[in-house]
Amino acid sequence: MLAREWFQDQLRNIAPFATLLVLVILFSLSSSSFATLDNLANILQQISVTGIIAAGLTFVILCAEIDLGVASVANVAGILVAWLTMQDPSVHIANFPMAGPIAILLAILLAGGLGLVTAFGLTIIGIPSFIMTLAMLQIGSGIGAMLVRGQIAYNVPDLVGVLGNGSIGPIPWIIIVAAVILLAAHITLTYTRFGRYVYMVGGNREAAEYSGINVRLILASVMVISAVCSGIAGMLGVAHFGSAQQDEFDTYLLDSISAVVVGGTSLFGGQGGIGNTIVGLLVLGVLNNGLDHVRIDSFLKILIRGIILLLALIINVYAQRVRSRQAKA
Amino acid sequence: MAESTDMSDKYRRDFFRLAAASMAGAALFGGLSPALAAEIAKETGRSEKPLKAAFSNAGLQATWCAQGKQAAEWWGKLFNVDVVWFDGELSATKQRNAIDDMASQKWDFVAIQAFGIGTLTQPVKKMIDAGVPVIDMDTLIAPLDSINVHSFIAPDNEFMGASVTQSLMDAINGQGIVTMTQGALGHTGAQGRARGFESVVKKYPKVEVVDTTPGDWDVSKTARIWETLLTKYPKIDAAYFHNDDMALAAYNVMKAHGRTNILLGGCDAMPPALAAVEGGRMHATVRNPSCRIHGGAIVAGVAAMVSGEKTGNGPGMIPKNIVTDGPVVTKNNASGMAWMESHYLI
Repeated sequence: MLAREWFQDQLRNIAPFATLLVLVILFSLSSSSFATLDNLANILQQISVTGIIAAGLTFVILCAEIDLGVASVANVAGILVAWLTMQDPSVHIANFPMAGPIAILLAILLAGGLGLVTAFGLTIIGIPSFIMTLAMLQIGSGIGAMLVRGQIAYNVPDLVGVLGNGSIGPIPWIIIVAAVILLAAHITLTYTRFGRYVYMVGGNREAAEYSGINVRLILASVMVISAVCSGIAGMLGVAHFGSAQQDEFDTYLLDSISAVVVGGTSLFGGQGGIGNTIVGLLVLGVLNNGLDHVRIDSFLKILIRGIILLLALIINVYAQRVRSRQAKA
Repeated sequence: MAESTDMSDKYRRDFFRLAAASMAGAALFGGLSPALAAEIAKETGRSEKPLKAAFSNAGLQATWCAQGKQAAEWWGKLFNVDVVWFDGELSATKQRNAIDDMASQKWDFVAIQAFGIGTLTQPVKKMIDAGVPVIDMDTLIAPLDSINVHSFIAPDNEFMGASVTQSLMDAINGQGIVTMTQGALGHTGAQGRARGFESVVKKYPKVEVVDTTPGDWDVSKTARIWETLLTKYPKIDAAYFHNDDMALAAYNVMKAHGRTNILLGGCDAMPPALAAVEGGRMHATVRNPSCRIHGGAIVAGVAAMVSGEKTGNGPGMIPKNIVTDGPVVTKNNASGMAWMESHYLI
């Protein structure tokens, strides 16, 4: 009976990990090129940009909010850092080159500034995060379009170039940056008072308020954290992919939300964490990568990804219900 | 006697070439003796041993790309190439991940149409450094002087834009109100088509271009644009669209407004547009030869592997840049074009 209760209690954590194991075994058996060190580095590299965005997004979702502007903020920060860097004469963009560190700082400030606007709309005006961040999605996209005007910029500051596209020995810097950010996010959520407040706000907002927690401040903070993480991801992404262009990172919105939710963090807030997000990232990374290593119809791949996402969501909601029932009992 | 031998050799070569080029040929090879199959392979350039090629184009959601995939697979069967597909899913980042995965596996040759210029450079360079011939299709992976691709097979977008615009200008006798609905502004194809359109229009002082809003290849956005244009301008004589899908989407809006007198010019000459040209709903389109580009990549890859064809301008070499031609399609040649497309010839 105890084992059953423990299993039900941990279902949200066990299911994604089991999914990951099954996928790894399945792809390893199906393809000789999958289970190699080279491909492991490939997978980690592929999930790095998503990982940085998802780290910030985990804070938001733990508070039972959503940030639909992450990909757009990432894109505009990446575009701005390139726009503030000297480009080749063949690039027809009326830009404003300046020193690398200043360009990086301004891009992070822009991302943080967009996060502050979201925070203002959410906590002061009272616009639901879904609507507020939908507007930020458009605003970020619009600023990016205004800066590049349909053109493509290639150069970024040296530091961004190294962190996004360089390696230290055999390990790409972008993996290290993603790991450091995920670790910092984990420590913040697990070992700091702010982290506990995030869980409390997400778990029961009313109770958190009665406990004297400044809920608005926590919500504003998580929105800024999410935007800054997106900004960093965008800058490194531009270096990693080799170009800054309009709407380049659009797919990261769904990818990052999927990573957080598939990993087991509750969409209803208060449960989950960075550990879950890492498992979610690996599930999606292994799934996307593995499907490219086995012979499968190209059109079927998209469907398979969708089905696995749906299964993860069903488990997420089911686990939530089980926990609620247990809490009531 | 010698002449007779030469003639019989010639006939045999012709026969084998015809056999290899026919649709039935692909199925036929399975039933031939190994010696005869080897001779056919020698004469046609078909690989004796199965080759493994990886292909990727912008996204199979686009009909042009889906047709290219079918063509590559058909030509692959003909030349004994096993084609594995990595879908770009109309996303620069997704395609980059797919090409990263491609680069971690072993291939005889690869062919790629980049969704975003500059985003695939690193994994493509990795494959080139490993000695894999990389054929660049339709859109630049990176500027040609910065990456050592085996060959770049692409249409002349400026020519396509200019030729279909010229057809429209002829039809309106060089005067009237004209629009251009563009593709995504960052796309080099759209930029070339716009240059082609402008180069022709500027020769006609009595033509007024009233709108060049980009539809971004998006049919719903194009429909919105055209709702506005039809309200704003009571008279429009001709409209050029950077692809057929947008032209057909705009036609539906025009039909709803009872404004089907506007002459439409498109680009790509995909089957639905050919039907529209034949049916009089579109005035003209221009063929962007998807089958020729994707099939050409198979032939180029096989030639590199079988006969060691290198990049260069000398005899027996493949040029670094191959311009694939596609004609303007009007009512006169639409059915012929449809036949050629159905056999993956253009």
